[in-house]
Amino acid sequence: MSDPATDAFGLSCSRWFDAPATLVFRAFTEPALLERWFCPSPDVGVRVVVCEPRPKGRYRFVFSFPDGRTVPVVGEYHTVIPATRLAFTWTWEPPDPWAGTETFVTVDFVERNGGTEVHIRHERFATIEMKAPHDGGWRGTLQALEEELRRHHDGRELDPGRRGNVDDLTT
Amino acid sequence: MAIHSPATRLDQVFHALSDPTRRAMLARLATSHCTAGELGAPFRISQPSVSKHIRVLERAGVVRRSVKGRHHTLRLVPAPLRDAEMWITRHRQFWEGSLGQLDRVLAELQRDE
Repeated sequence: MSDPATDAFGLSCSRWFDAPATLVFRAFTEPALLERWFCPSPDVGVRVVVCEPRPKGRYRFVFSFPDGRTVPVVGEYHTVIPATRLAFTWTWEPPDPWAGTETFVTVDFVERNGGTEVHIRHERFATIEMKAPHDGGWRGTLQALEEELRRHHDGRELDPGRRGNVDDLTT
Repeated sequence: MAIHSPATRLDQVFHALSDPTRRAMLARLATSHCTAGELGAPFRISQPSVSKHIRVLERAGVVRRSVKGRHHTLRLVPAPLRDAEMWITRHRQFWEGSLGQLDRVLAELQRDE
């Protein structure tokens, strides 16, 4: 979703966990716990090199992929409210294709139904003027746009070669 | 035309997509090319605003203008949109995959306690 104050564009995802918010928050902020889960699949490893979860604290995580590549991600914590909210910048380093592009992650922890719902927003800030009123419907619009594009281009430009990059983090 | 780094270009595409009017314009252009006047017609905004939106889309490289005499035709250029889509897809896979692993780890932690 977008933040009306910045009119950013990005992705959001949520998941409910059968665990208290204090424990889920610890899993996001303690190196020993992070190294047990913070990677997209079990065959990707993650090493927590720096982790200072406090405002202006830094982090540096290094992912190792099955093909031998290692890709670091670095950032700075902006908001750290235990069991409630974490916000930090997120910048890949080479050889990632988006190395150097600073993005912003917000993680909200909400206790619900005896467990904790985690909401993640990952955005690239819009950098220029623009403060238009927001309809919050970018996701549906983008999907509609994608469908239009597929229909009108017969999927020609969605060839597997370009898809290759998408798999970097998951294979 | 300046040479833009991939990061700058991604920024411009995300900026272009951050506005509902411009998203509607892109959806319109996805169906067929059209003139600037046709593109602005469905919106209750001034001609200068329409031109400004079109300039943002052109700067992001998602719309291209061809000029024949007095006729300006606007077309959608899908490739940069696909870059933005790829950024979103890849990071969504990262977060969804990671949260799936977190679920398992939280269960383990609570079982061990």
